[in-house]
Amino acid sequence: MTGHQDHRRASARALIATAFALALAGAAFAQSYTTAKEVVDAMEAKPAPSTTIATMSMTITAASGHSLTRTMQVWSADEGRSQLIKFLEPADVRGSGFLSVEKASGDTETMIYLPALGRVRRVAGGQKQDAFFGSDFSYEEISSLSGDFGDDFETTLLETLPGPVYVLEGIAKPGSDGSYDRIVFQVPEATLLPQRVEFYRAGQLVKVLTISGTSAVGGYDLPSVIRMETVASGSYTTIDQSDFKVDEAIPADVFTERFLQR
Amino acid sequence: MSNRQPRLSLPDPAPRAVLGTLATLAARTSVARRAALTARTALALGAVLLCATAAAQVSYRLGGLLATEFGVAVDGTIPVAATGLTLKLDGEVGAGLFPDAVFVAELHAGYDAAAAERFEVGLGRAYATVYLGPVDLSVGNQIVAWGSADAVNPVDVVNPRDLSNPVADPADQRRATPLLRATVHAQQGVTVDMVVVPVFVPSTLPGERWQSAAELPTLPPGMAIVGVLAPSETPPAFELGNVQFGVRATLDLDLGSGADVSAVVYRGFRHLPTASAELVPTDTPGAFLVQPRLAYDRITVLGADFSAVFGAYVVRGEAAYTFSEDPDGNDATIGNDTFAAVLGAETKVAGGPFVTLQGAYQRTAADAGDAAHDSFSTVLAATFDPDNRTGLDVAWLHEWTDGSGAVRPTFTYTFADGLTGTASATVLYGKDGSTYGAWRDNTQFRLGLAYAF
Repeated sequence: MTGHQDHRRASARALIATAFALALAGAAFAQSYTTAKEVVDAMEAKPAPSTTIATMSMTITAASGHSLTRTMQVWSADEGRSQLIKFLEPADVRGSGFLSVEKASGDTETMIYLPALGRVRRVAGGQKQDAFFGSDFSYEEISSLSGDFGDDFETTLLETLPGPVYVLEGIAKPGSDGSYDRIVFQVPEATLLPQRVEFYRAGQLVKVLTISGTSAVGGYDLPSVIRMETVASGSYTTIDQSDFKVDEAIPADVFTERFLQR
Repeated sequence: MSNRQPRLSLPDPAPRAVLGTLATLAARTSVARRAALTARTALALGAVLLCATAAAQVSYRLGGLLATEFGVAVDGTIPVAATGLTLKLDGEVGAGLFPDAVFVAELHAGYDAAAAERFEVGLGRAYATVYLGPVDLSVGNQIVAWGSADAVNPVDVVNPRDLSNPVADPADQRRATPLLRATVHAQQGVTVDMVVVPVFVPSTLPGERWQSAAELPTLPPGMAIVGVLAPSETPPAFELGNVQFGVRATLDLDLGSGADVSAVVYRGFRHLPTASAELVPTDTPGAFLVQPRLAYDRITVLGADFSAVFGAYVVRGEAAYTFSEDPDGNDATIGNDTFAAVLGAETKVAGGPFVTLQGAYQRTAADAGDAAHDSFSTVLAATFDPDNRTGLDVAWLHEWTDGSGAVRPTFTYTFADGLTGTASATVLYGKDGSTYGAWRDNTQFRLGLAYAF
């Protein structure tokens, strides 16, 4: 037996032991929250990095199974209120960028940069609900990847699954300009990150978001594998986030038109 | 939101005013050669700028675009049967979020069996930008896109255009030109963009298929025109007094979801020639030759543009007044003052297409006995992505003063990462002699395939 095989066998044993311990820990969890507000408050109280820099690989898969892949660099600050995305691959979208900055007034200024156009374009709020560069995510959903869903919705606790995993329902508040009138999301108490979100419009299930992987970076649990499925078309987009850097000082100059088109 | 833009340009009426195919010949002579020389000079300057920061880390990437296109017109002719390769080298000097400098160099080689000059090799964008605090300093062959509106941009005056297909995507028509550019990012949302264009480069005139037949003057009895000489071109000389320059100052306004307003001043030359003709007597009494003359008018452009977000709508507008050196319209050999303005709005229809509507007005002052000319046109464009790979665009341009126009549906499909196919039709309509009706025979269908790597 080689050293390499020894190492693999030891790793496998450690993995099984860890999984077993985690399973036991999950079974031992007592339910800590009894209302939706407690869950949402706990989600919001969960420490979040002040800034995040990550590489995002986005794979768009059609119902036929054929897929397209985009790779981009993401800078995020102020808990996602300032966000810049630049495309790295493939070549035909390389250099394209998306900037979203929430101002003190609460209004969000959104711009895109397309190299072929040669200049930065402002984007209207209504356009935030459109597909993000051909993916199953909308611009609005990309902007809230690291955020929460609580602000625009009145939430109620539907049930608590083993784990415990809280199942919450959010009904859009009057005057909300979001794309959906109802969401249902599952939040494991262990991570306090939504692991599945169902988006409804006029009673119809429109999209399903699944967070199937998280990364522990700098003391934070960050979603690393995120999948959004469009129910009607059967297409889905998977985002893999890697190379996380958290709480690094990002100069304010990054979230500007100048940096967007650099 | 779509990543595509409305793709139908409003051609300047000037190209069709020139005397037929003669103008095309002249546009490819000494000016083009001087432009190539200046481009090389600009590249050398860019290299010097890069060397100044060469102590830092350099990273680069080589990519490109391989594209092929085939078209057929309603009269059975083939307007395009082309294949081209563009190689692109880009990179940066320095590391971290803010590199010290970036550089881009594009080289294009193409073959078009349907073109008069089948082989083409040329430099695209080729420049270096050095970041000096709040100043971005760029030198080389560049494209400077001024303005806020789509398709019709009265303040977008810096670069010449390739109008060989005058209804192509306006963004694709810009030709890189050698220039020095300094962009100052000042405080309080103010950006000042300054350009100096040392050498004049003309626009490429519409291909022969797009040019109307020459209109020869009517002569008194006993006089006759017996021939037409090769056109005489008088491009601006390469001298200090002919250096073109412009400034665009932009102010970002802290209003709602964003707004900005810009002012533009540009002093230079029209990129399209003003054509005139004179009669040259021959040895035979009463027999004359026509000598066409092409001149590029010195102009001063004052303009402004803005964009603002109002809820689900973005409103964009531009206006520019172009002062010529013949404000009273006394000299038929000099183009006249013009005023152009465009106002448009765009929005995303819920669950439907992204829609843009623009109205454009242009007035050309009276000239040597001819009345002033007004035109008003609209552009309605819709873009819809039914799925992740498919894109549908429709653009409709209508000239209300003569009832002519153009409609262009485009279908795009992404086969794989970087590999995109396009099918489009351009349908031109209108009466004989109208702005677009004169081009009815150019109604055509095109297929294209492009691979970016």
